[in-house]
Order: sequence, then C-alpha cells, then structure tokens
Amino acid sequence: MGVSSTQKKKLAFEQWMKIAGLAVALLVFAAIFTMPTPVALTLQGKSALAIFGMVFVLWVSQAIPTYASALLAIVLLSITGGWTQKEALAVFGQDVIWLMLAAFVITSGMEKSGVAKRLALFIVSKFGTTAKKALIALGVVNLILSFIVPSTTARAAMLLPICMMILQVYQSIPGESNFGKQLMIQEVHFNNITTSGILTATAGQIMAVGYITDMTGMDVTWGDWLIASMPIAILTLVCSLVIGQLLFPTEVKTPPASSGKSAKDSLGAELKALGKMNGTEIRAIIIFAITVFLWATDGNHLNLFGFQISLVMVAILAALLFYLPYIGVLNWKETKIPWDLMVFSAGAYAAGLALDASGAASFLLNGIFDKFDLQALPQFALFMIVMFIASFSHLVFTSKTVRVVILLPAIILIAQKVGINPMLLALPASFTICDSITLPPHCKPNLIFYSTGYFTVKDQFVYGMLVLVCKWLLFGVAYFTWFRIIGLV
Amino acid sequence: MKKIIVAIIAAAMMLSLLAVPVMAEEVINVASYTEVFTPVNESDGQLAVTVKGTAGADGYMYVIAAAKGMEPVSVAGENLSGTELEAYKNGSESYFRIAVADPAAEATVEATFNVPGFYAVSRAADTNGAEDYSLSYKFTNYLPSKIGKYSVMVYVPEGMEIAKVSSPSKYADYKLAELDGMRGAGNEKALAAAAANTLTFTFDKAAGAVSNILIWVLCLGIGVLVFFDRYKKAMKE
Repeated sequence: MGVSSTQKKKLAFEQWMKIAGLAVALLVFAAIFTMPTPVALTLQGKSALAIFGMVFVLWVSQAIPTYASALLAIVLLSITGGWTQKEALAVFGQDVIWLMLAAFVITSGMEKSGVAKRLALFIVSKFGTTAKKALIALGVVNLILSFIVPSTTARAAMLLPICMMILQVYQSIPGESNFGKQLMIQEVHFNNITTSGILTATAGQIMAVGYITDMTGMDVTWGDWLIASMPIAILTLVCSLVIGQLLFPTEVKTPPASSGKSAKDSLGAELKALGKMNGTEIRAIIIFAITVFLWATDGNHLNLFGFQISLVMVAILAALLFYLPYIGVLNWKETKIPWDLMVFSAGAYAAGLALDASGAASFLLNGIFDKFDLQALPQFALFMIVMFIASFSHLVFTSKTVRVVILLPAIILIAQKVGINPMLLALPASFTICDSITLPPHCKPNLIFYSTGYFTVKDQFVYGMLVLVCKWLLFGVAYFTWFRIIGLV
Repeated sequence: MKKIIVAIIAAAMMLSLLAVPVMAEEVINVASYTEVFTPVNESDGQLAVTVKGTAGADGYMYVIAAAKGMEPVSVAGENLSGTELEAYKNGSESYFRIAVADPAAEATVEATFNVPGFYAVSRAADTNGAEDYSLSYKFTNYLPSKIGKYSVMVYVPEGMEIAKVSSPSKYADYKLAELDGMRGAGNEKALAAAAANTLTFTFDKAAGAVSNILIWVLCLGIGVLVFFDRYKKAMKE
C-alpha cells in the first residue's frame, strides 16, 4: 500500500537531479578516467577532464554541497595527477580569491556605514521603483561604468554592495528570490556583455586585435570595434532581460511599501529618514571613491603616481582602509565573508585551471575544429560554426587569454585557407571573448556575484546558455544586415 | 725561459679558443635537425637523427652527440661521400661527422645510434598519487649556426603512456604522437647557436583492466546506492 502510494508521487526535475546527480557524476568520472587515453592527450589531461566532467555535473545537480564538490576536485586533482598538490592548493592564493575577500570587506563596510543603503535607496527611488526598472537601471549603470572603469572585475566589486543593498530594499532572500536570481545573474551578463562592446574594456580583446593586425595586416580601431560590436551587445542584453523574466519571473513588482503609501513615496520617505550623511558614511564614501578612482585610472598609475597599483591591490587597500582606526568603519567580526562559497570558488577555479594547464581544453577544441570540414562549407555556415565554437569554447577554457591565443590564429588561418576576408571571422569571434557567463569559475565577476548565494550553478548555466544562443543567432542576423552595412561581409 | 713558457701556454689557449670559430665558419646552414628516440629494451634506446642542410667549407655534415653514450649504428643519406660516421671533438663538445660529395649542394644525413641507458630512469612520485618515470632530454645546438627547425620525439616503451609534459609546459608547444603502439612526446622549434631545448616529461603504465574495473565497481556501487537511498527518501518526503 505504502509502495503504491509513493510510486504515484511525481518528482520535480530538480529533485531528480539531486537524486541522480552523484550517480551521473561518478559515471562521467569513471567513463572518462578509464577510457583509453587519446594519443593527443596526457594522463594528466585525461584526469583533469574526468574531474571537471564530474564536478560540473555535481555543481549543476547540487547533488552534494558545492563547497564539498570543490574540496573533492582539489583532492582528486592531486591524487590522480590532474594537477600537483602545490598547484591545486595555490589556487587559494590566486588574485581572484583575494579580490573576493576584499570585495566582501568593502561590501560589509559600505553596508555597515549605511552608505550602501543610501545609494541603493537613491537608485531605486529615482530609477528603480519597480523590480523591472531596477534591473534596467543597474544594466545602464553597468554600461556607463564599462566606459569609465576598464576592468570587469573592478566593476563587479564596485556594484556588489549596491546590488546587495537593492536586494535588501526589496527584501529578497538569497536562494529563494527570483528577483535576486535575476539581478545577480544579470549583473554577470551585463558585466561581461557590455565589455564585449568596448575594445579596451578587457585585455583579451586588445590581444585579439593584436593578432588580427599581425596576421592580416588590417587595423581595428576603438571606434571600429564599438560600431561593429555594441549593437550586438545591447541586443544581447535585451535578450538577457527577456529571458531572465521568462526563467525567473520576479516575485515582487515594487519594493515592500509602508502601509498607505506607494512604493515610490515609501522609498522616498525612507531615504529622507536617513537624514544627512553622518561621519561614518562620509568616511565610507571617501574610501569607496578612492577605490573607484584607482580602478578607473588603472593603466595611468605610473603617470599619476610614479608606481603601479594592481586591481587586486586596490581592493585590498580599500579593505585595509575600512579596518583602520580613525579612517575605517569596520572590524573583523562585522565582516560578512561567505567562506563556503570562497572554498567553492577555489576548487572550481582549480578544476578549470587544471583543464587549461593540462592541455585538455586545447585537446577538446582541436577535436571540435577537426570534426568539421570547414573549408568545404558555405561561407555563412562556416561563419556560424566558427562563432558557435568561439562563443561556447569558454565552457572548457577558464582563461580568456588562452582562448584568444588558441582560437584567433586558428580562425584567421581558416579564413585565409578558405579565401574569405579574415576580418569576417576573426572580428566577430573576438566579440565572444567575454561570453564567459555560464559557470562561476569562468571569470572573476561570475565568482564575485555567485558568492552572494542568490543563484545556483544550474540557474546561471541555463540562463547563460540561453542568452548565448540568442547572441549566436544575433550574429547570424548581423551577418545579413549590420555586418553588410559596415562592410564586414 | 719562464716568459717563453707563459707565452706558449697563452698562444695555445688562444688557439684552442679559436678552434670553435674555425668550425663555426665551416658549417653554413642546417635547415632541419630531427631526433627520434625509440626504446630497444627496458633501459636502452635507439636514436634516429636526420639532418638536412649544406655542409661548410670543411665538407662535413655534423651530428651533435647530445645523448650520453650514443654509438653510431648506421648512416645513409643524400649527397654523402663518406660511408661511416667519424667521431669528432671540438673543444669539450662531441660530434659525429660525415663527408659530403658536393659541399655546395644540400645534403641529408640519416643516422641511427644506440643510446645505452637512455630509458633507465627512476620513478618518482609527486607529493600524492602514483609514481611515474621521469625523463628529461636536453639538446644544445653546439653547431655554430642556427638550426632552422629542430624537432625531437621520444617514444616510451609499449604499454606506457605519457603522464605529464612539464617542459615545454604549454600544450601548444609540445606534441604527442604514437608509433607502432608506442606513445611519444616531443617538440620542435628553431634553435639559435648555443641555444638549448629541454624536453621533460613523466610516463607510466597505462591503467590495467583490474584497476579500471575497480574504478567502475566503486563508482557504480556508490552511485547506485546513493541513487536508491535518495529516491526512497524523496518518495517518503
């Protein structure tokens, strides 16, 4: 009787993933680890691939806690030879981990001082009186910032406290709120996709242009890049907003208001109630302003001060200032650092880096390129296949630079072999360098926003993949329209 | 008398220093230099060297004795007048050389050598994991001219697999290959005079059927147990 009643129970897809996740992950591991090693792969590469495959299933299915899967990755990498113990453990010393730490100190300082709440209330009451408007407003802020602050990571660290506070205004609970999921994942999308519209917004893109110039003799100016790429970037972001609403319809329309008042009035009143800025807020805002200034002038430090301060050091300096007596506003106990997510980030980063370092990522990419007889394809089909590979290759490559180094020369050579304008393939392929939006370890902003706990790996993966498919289709449309108008086709 | 002895020693030293440039001027062009190591037994290897280029004024093509204890076995090629490789020393560096028929024309030397003890390498473990055999081979271009394309491939005994290539460290900079069931690692690059190329990698036995079955049993066992346990719990909830 009991059995028949349980058989009737229908399990949700998410439950099935948790039930079967570990079994599937172990099968993936066993299948890859025990397969005959391909000639072009080392045992190290095979191990790294098996471990990445396994933890990928674990992240998406959440069959075990993500921090546990990260520890599993580190242990297995060391034992199976996927990476050495020294290399795997050293990931905790990577700049991204320090950056996350510093970002959370800054966030805690901004939060404790009250200035983050003031900023968030200001943005929400002026531009984000509804959840949708708040999402668009943050997108626009991101777009504007991408012209001023030439670093995806710095922008992420800068916007994190404001995003956190906006979610507090909306009373969004991490892991439960769809608005929280949308906002945080969209920050990842806006951060990366707006970067693709501006040549100088990340080093990988400048490197890609270097390859194009060196190998084809053709110049790509800052303006050329902007004109060719920004329309696609903006349309992709519109797709992201639409897909986000379809996947995670916001459970709140407006911030919870006081009884008898509209949300706008309520927020306005709350902002007014904060009164004038107090000393703590002023100190926090000065520290934040110094941080933003140093991030925005990254690249000009030598001219300005006679020495360079790296992005991470700026963040650590800001964290230090928040702790200093007289200047700071925070002590260690008041700092909210999500250590479980930091451990996850380290393990996930290790799994991704091992894939790069062992050559497994390159092996996979070469395999994909070899599968297609690219020279025999019609030009449009070739264009679409190259764009697909260029965009989705981020799934196996953690590093943007490595992707540029491996992809760009290969794509230019393919174009030259087929006898088409290399710029037609190489330039749009360069616009995909920042498409690393599907998994947390793929780039630093992803890790920073993931570590807030508002979304799961699966949420990010599904949302990111759908947005990238839209972007890929937009490339197809641009091939017949925008790229013809600007003379690329 | 003392001054004369000092002068003679000084002159001898000067001459010995000049010996290198003498050879340097004689070797004109080395377009490619290929080395392929294959195992003969558990410890000894065979080295096949192919050198393509133009001999210098001295009329010889040179093979650098880069591997310790290498002994010539055979030589063939194009545009050669000699039939045997002759051991040759220039300062402290050792070579094998063979005369060419027309020094102005391109010549090819295809020589094989026995390299005793080449594969007699020790096993070493990293802090964790299994012990691997570690092999390192350094080739220094002791020819006075640049080698247009130097390439090396070291095959390991059948049943062994390349575990990790640490020098060169980037995947794009090394090559993995297979020859008659033997796995190999190698790389290629241009080598300026006096420049060196180091190939370092570890290799080990391919996993046997028993260990593979064990991994499957373990993974399937844990997977199936957890699956049914969670399924039951989910149904009860």
